[in-house]
Amino acid sequence: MDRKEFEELALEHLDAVYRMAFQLTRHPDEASDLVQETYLKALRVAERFEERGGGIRPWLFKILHNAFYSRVSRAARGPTATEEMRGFASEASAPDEPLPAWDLASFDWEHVDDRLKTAIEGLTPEYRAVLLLWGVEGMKYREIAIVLEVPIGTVMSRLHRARSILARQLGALAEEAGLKPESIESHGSAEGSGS
Amino acid sequence: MHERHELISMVRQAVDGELSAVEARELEARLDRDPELRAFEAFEARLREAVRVFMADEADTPADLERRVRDALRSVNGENAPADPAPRRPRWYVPSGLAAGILLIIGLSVAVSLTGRGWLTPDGGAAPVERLADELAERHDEMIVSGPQASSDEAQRFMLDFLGWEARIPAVAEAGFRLHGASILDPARDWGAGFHAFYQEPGGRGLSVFIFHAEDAPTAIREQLREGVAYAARLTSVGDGRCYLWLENGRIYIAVTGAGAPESLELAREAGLPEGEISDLP
Repeated sequence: MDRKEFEELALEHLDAVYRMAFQLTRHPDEASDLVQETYLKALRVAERFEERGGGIRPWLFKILHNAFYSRVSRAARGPTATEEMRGFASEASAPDEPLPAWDLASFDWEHVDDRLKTAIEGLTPEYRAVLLLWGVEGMKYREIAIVLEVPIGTVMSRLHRARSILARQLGALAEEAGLKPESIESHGSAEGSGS
Repeated sequence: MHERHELISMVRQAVDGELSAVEARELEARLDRDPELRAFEAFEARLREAVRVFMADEADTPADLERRVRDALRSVNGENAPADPAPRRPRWYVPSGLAAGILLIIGLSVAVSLTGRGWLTPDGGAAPVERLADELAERHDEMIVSGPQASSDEAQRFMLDFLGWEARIPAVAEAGFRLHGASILDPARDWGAGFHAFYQEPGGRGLSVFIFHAEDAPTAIREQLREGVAYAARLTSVGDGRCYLWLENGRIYIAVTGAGAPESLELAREAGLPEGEISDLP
């Protein structure tokens, strides 16, 4: 693939690549720098790209993801902790708290953005990346695992935790609105929440 | 009977379209009897949609970014390619035997059970084997690397951590080889994620053993292999090089030999290797 061909093919996905960069960095300027670095790296190895059904976008995501962690590592002046060591400190102790399941008809979904923003910003970049690939790109677990170079089980556990956090944030919003979400995990036991 | 947390996981997989037809039917029957779980399913579906809308709209691409990227790409095409910002880290290595495409025969001096009599002929079903060798060489600089003098125990943990499965890492000390490093193969290929153990002997010869989960291997290869029998195959495009394959406890082992001085990690970085996921074995 020559430069011109690469340019036309890859730049079609600029918005998606930028979205991913933004979710990793949460800073517009850093995201732009990362996108440029990603395209330069991709061009250097473009001749190795092989179409395997998913198009060029997952490949760009993968390079972006790797470039981001190379930057993080350089900034830390040493090897970065792996997934297991990075963990999920802020939520690691409560991944399986009861989850809310309230009456959707009573919940105002039009006003969840602030809560979502707060919850998403509280996630580590790895979790935001999984959320983006799952939620916006609509990728399957296996596809996400390929992009992030982690086992499928890791993708599933990250998604589980991220969704639980978002659910709890929205649960708080629901309670403020006077709704009383039931805990589906405690349903049928003597430990019902919100009642 | 599923535990509650299992049901939650199943509901989420159902929302994500990740359940098999059988699992989906089983869950649907359960949802019909469980209004709270049904409400949770509806909530999860709505949450996914909310995340989609929010994250898709959260960040607009800067207006000048496309022009900036185009300019950068065109500068690479000219004489002023941007310098690689990554610092050199020579203590990590990519073994260059395969990367350089230099594969040599060392035959049965490699004491790793290459005792079978099978031979994959170069026509018909054997073609994937030959392509594999080329593909392995191509993938070589996309791998996580480590060394020198890796510990077998550490490599074993490394395998489990990154791949989620285990396999015996061959000990080839009798042939004079010592484990030099371990790495994870790019999963975005036909064989899925794999493990690579790289050995060297004092004379500089290299040996690479690639280990894949048999279920991930192409059917054309898997169906030809019998447990406990090793096969040899010719390599294409690399002269008279050879590789050896065998099936062992549900894993496919591929041993190839090579020689050459290690190259720095820079080559790996060119492919966007995540430095953060490099595991430096003691």
